[in-house]
Amino acid sequence: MGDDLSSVEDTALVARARAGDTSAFDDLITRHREKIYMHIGFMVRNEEDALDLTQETFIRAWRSLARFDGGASFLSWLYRIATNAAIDLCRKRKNRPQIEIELGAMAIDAASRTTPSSPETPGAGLDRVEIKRRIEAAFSELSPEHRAVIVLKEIEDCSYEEIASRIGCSLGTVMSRLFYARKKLQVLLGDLHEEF
Amino acid sequence: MKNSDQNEAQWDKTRALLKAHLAVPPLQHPDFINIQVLKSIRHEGKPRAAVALFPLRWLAWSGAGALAAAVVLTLIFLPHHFRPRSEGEFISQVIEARAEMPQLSLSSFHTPDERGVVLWIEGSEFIPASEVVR
Repeated sequence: MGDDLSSVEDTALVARARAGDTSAFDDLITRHREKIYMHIGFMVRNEEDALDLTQETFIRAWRSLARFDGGASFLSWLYRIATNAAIDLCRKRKNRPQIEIELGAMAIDAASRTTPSSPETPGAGLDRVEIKRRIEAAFSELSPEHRAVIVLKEIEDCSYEEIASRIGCSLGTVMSRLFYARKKLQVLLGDLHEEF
Repeated sequence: MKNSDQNEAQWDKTRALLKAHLAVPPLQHPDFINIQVLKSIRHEGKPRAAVALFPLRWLAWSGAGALAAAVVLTLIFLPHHFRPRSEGEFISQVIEARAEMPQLSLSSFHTPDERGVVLWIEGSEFIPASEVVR
């Protein structure tokens, strides 16, 4: 995911931040805020909550900087905090994310890996609003843990090892969660395939 | 086409749908996050130092110590408490208990050392003249 190149600089910034240098921490926020926001946004499906949780993630990170041992990259560590915060919120909402992201707000950064590779996406012939509604509904049926692995694997293209590191569980757990999450989505969205 | 290939193809379609329709709008005012976070952490001051592991270790040792003490006390007292007693430990023992009248309960106790016998009668103020104590 390209974290390696920046990990050395992150480590230096983390060391300064640990000593109480808020400008170093400010740099860390600037460097990672977009990725963390997108990750949380994919999981919680609500712009306001994503913004709040992004702030909360960085505040929690500041409080726990002493516990960051540098074993994984700083970004992976942030992802873990962000994923846990998003899972907690989804649980609080009784696993029902609010579907409030507007279609009109879908202007995605051209460099983002989340942008569809082809402009002609599956289901293009169907009513996009209806397809989106179906997909959001199916996604909301997943447990927060399953949602996290689907986002990391299928949308953010992480490897199994990266996912395990970012959500803090074993490779086997990642594979198992991914298997069941995919199966559930296939069942819920299988009929959409027949339309294209 | 094999079943697994079909499943893979199906999943590719689902993945494309997810990527196309689960998009998240980009961050509108990214600096807002910095401002809010910095405001909060400046209020808190320096990051907290790592919590020493001593209390946890101390708790673990205390728990283990308490458990060991419980096991030792159980081993000392429990077998003794349930050990079967010999006849010699009793002061007296019931050697015969029989009553021909239904309301009468009669027990005789024999004390081996004192060479005495105690009769314990319940259910009657006196022994009727028609009855004989043997």
